[in-house]
Amino acid sequence: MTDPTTAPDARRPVTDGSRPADVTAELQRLGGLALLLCGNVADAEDAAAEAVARVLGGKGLDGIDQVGPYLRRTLVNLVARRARRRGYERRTLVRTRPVDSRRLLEDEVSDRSDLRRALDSLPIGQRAVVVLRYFDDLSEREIAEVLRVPVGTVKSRNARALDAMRRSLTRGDENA
Amino acid sequence: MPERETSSFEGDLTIRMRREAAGVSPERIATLARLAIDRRRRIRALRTSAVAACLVLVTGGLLATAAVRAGSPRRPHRPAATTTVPTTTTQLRAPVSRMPGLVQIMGVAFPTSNHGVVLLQQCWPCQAKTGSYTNWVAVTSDGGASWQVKQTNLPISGSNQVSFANSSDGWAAGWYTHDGGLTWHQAQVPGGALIGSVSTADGTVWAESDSCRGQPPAASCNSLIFTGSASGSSLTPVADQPFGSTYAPGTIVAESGSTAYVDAYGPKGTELLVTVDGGRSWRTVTSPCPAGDYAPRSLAVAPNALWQFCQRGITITTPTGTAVKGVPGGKAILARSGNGGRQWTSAAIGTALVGNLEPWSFTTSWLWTDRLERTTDGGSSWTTVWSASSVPSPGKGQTVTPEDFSSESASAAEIPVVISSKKGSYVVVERTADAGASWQPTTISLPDT
Repeated sequence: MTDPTTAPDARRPVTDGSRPADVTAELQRLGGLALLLCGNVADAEDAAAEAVARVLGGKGLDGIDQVGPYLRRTLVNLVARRARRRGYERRTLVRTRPVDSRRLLEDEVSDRSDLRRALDSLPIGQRAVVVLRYFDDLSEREIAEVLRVPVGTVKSRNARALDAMRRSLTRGDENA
Repeated sequence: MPERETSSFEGDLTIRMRREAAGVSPERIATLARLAIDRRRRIRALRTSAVAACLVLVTGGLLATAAVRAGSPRRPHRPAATTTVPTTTTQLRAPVSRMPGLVQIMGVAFPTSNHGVVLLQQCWPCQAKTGSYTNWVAVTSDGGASWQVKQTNLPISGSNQVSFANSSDGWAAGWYTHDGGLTWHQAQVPGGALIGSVSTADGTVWAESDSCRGQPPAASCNSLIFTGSASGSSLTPVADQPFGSTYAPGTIVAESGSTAYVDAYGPKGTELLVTVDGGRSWRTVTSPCPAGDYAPRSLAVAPNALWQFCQRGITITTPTGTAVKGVPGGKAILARSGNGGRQWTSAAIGTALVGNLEPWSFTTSWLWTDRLERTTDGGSSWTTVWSASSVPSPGKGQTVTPEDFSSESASAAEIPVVISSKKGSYVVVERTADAGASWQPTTISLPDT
């Protein structure tokens, strides 16, 4: 990750480049969403870029602010697919190389913040709901439209996710 | 009370998530997205070619079989297919050569109508995770009729701000040129400070440096303002340095050799500072942005006029922490001052029109978003004078990517666009001298290396 205090333009508004303000703001927002869903910057940037490429194709980035819900749905689907693939790879890795890979996974996990660890422990469906709700500021109805699930499902996933995160973060604070 | 605990936890969750999510770079996502789009386009073209080849083979086989069955030893004579040449309206001169890889415009300046400079960055070979970057400069001295393109050692980045005092002397970050942009040299700066934005006026260059150590909220900055002669090779700190260790400068804009404005970000939020005596003293100017959700951007200066946007949803990182100013979307505010920031006139406008301003008076300004807009009534109404669709059709399968613009007066402006296809990329500079009523394209061929 870029050091925010040493990057040349770190203290300026992120929209201060030549890119249109809305596009930059939307990319920043989408990138943040991806980071919270994926758990690390490299995967987040890749996933966000892939979602943009799939949704906008040859139209370029100009229409990005008009395809928000579709872009978010594509991003969540991409992350879910990658999570399933990674889960399979990890299971295979742990089976074939039990000692090294476990150490590797522990090292990776220990670098993460409490929040990312709490988010990572959630199933992707619950994680998507809680991130769209509290980071992206979407209403339950909007989340239901993005994820194509009933509003009741959004409510129940949100409640379960909050419960799990509260337990996880409280435990983290106590340990700290 | 369970209800209160829940809402407090949820509020805390929002704050923690926004802080956590500030680590991604929208510029990098945009670059990766372009690469992905390009990759998908190449795959699609390959697939189409493969299908077409299969169809030709199958059709040929069927025709041959039919001919054999009919007992004819020769293929039947068919009239040659009539090719309808589409009527082309293109005014673009075909490039002599094209550059491979991803090409991006990183800066443009036209100090006079004849002399222009375009900064380019080439990523080749270019993978998603790693890429090899080469920087190029294209210079014209005859109004775009011919261009000289060469590699440059100028370290081009997204934050480069190119500012020319005349057709010879130009500055970009801590680098200068005295030959119109062909060669660049690193300026002598006391302490080797890293220069951020620069601005020239009346033969004087103004610059600000970013020198911070540590991580927010405990970062310590030693940010300085410098001046120098635009035709010189060094920068000198101004007598009165307005920033302490907890403030960092944003963008500096020069109005004259003695007057300059600079944004500052610190514990009290954002501030606007001005000097009218060449940096011997600074005073704080009232910000036009309402406290709370709005943050300033695109500070720009014209003769006797100061223009600035106030926008929501901007992430600002100061030495003492990171804050998101409001939620993206909603209305932005355009503010103007005709008396150095003592009073501001504001107009609420849609976010679609927030971008980079280049004003030329209190009423007339250019505005770059993803297209070029122009106002002559202080921003109450804007007219789109150029968009990517204005470029004469460059050909099938080619994409047009505008990145930036420059204006040399209230009626003359230039927009460089990258035109790319699987054959490579070249640049077209669109120019107007009549406030956008008509545009003339000139082509810059890029080396095929």
